[in-house]
Amino acid sequence: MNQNDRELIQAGVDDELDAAGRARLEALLAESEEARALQEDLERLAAFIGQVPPRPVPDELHRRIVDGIDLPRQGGVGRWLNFAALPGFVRYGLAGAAAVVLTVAVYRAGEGLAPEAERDLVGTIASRGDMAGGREVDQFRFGVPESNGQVTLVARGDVYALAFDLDLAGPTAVEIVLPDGGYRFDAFAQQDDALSAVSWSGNRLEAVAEGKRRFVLRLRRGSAPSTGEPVIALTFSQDGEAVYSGTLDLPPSS
Amino acid sequence: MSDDRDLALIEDCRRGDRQALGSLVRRYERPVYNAAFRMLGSADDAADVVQTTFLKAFENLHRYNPQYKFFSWIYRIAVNESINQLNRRKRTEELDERRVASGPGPDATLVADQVSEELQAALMTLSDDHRAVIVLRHFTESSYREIGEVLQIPEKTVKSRLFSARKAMKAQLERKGYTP
Repeated sequence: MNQNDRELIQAGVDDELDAAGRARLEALLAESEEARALQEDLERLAAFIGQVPPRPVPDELHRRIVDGIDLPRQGGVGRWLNFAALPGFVRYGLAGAAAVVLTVAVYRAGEGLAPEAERDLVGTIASRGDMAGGREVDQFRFGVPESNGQVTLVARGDVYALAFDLDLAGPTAVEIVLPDGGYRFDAFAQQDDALSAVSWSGNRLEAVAEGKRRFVLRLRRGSAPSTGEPVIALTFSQDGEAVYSGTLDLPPSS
Repeated sequence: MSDDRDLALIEDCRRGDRQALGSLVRRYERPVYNAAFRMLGSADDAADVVQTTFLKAFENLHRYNPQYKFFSWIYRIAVNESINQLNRRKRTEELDERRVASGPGPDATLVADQVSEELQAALMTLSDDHRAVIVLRHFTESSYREIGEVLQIPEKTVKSRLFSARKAMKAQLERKGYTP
C-alpha cells in the first residue's frame, strides 16, 4: 500500500471522496487487509476524539470580545482614501446647478462652541490611527434656509483634518481651496458615499453632497513654506450659485 | 451556517451596527474558543487568543475577502495567534510540562474529562503544524479545502500532514494506554 492509498483511505474516513474516489476505495478495501486495518484505525481515532465534548465558552468572554471592538459610528466616517492612490483627476457625476444666492458669513471658532460632534468625528478618525490627540484649530458654522453645517479644522503635528458635518437641502457643490504651496490634500474619509462627486487638482478640491453628510479631508503640510494667505477657503454652491462661503485659518507655515 | 448571513452581518458591522457585531461574534466564539483551547491547552490563554482574534478581525475587516468564508479567515487569525502565543510561552520558558502534567481538574472524575485531558496532553506533544490540522479537522469540522485556506497550504499538503499528525497522535495515545 502506498501513500496515495493511505490518503485515499483517510479521505474516505473524512467523507472527502467523490463517487470515483469511493469506487477506488471500495476496490482497495476489497483486496487489501492492510487497507481495512488502516481504515479501522483511523475511524477509531476519529471516534475517540469525537467523544470529547466541546468546551463551554467562559461566561464573560462574549462581553469582553464585544466591548473591546470599536466599530465606525453609525453614520460616522468611513475609510481613508488616499489621493495619491487615485488618478490625478477624478470626477464622477458632478451635479448641475442653478439659483439661490445668499450672503456669506465667516464664523470664526471661539471658546464654548461645544464642538462635540466634531470631537466625536475626530475620535472616529483617531481610532484609525490618524488624529488621536489632535487640537481644534478653527471652525465655522453656517445656516441658511433648509441647509446648515459646520466645518472644523483639527491639527496634529503636520497633519490636518477638515471635518464636515452637513445637512443640505439639495445637491450642493463644495469647493475647498488650500493656500498656494505648503499644504496638500492627503486623503479623505466618507461614510456611505457622502460625496457623490469628487474632483481635485492642485490645491483645489470640489465635491457634491446632499442631505445629511459627514466626511473628512486630510491635509498635510509640506516642507515648502506657503506663499499664499494661510487660510482654507470653502464655498458651498447650489444651482450654480455660491450660497455660503468662509475661511478657516491655518497656522502660519514655518 | 449561511455565508450570506455572515456577509450581511459584516456589512452591518462596517456601518457601525453593534448588534450585528454581537451576532457575528456569537456565531463563531464557541468554535474559535474550542480551536484555540485545543491549540494551547489552557482556558485562560484560549480566551485571550479568542479576544485578540476577533479584535484583529474587526480591525482588519476592510481586508476581508468575501471570496473566502468568514470562518476560514477568522480561524486563520486564531491559529496564527495561538502559535504566536505558544512561541511567547516557549520564550518565557513556561511551556507546557506544567500544564500538561498538572493534576486533574475539578471535575476530572468524569470519564469525558479524563479523556479530554489525555487527548489534550497528546495534542500538546505534536508539532504546531500537526496540532493545527488535527484541531481544524476534528474540532472545527473543516474540510480539506477549508483547512488549506486557513493554513494557506495546498490541499495535497493538508492530506499528507493530517495523515502524519494522526499517526503521531495515535502513537501518543497508545503510549498512555489508550487504544484508539
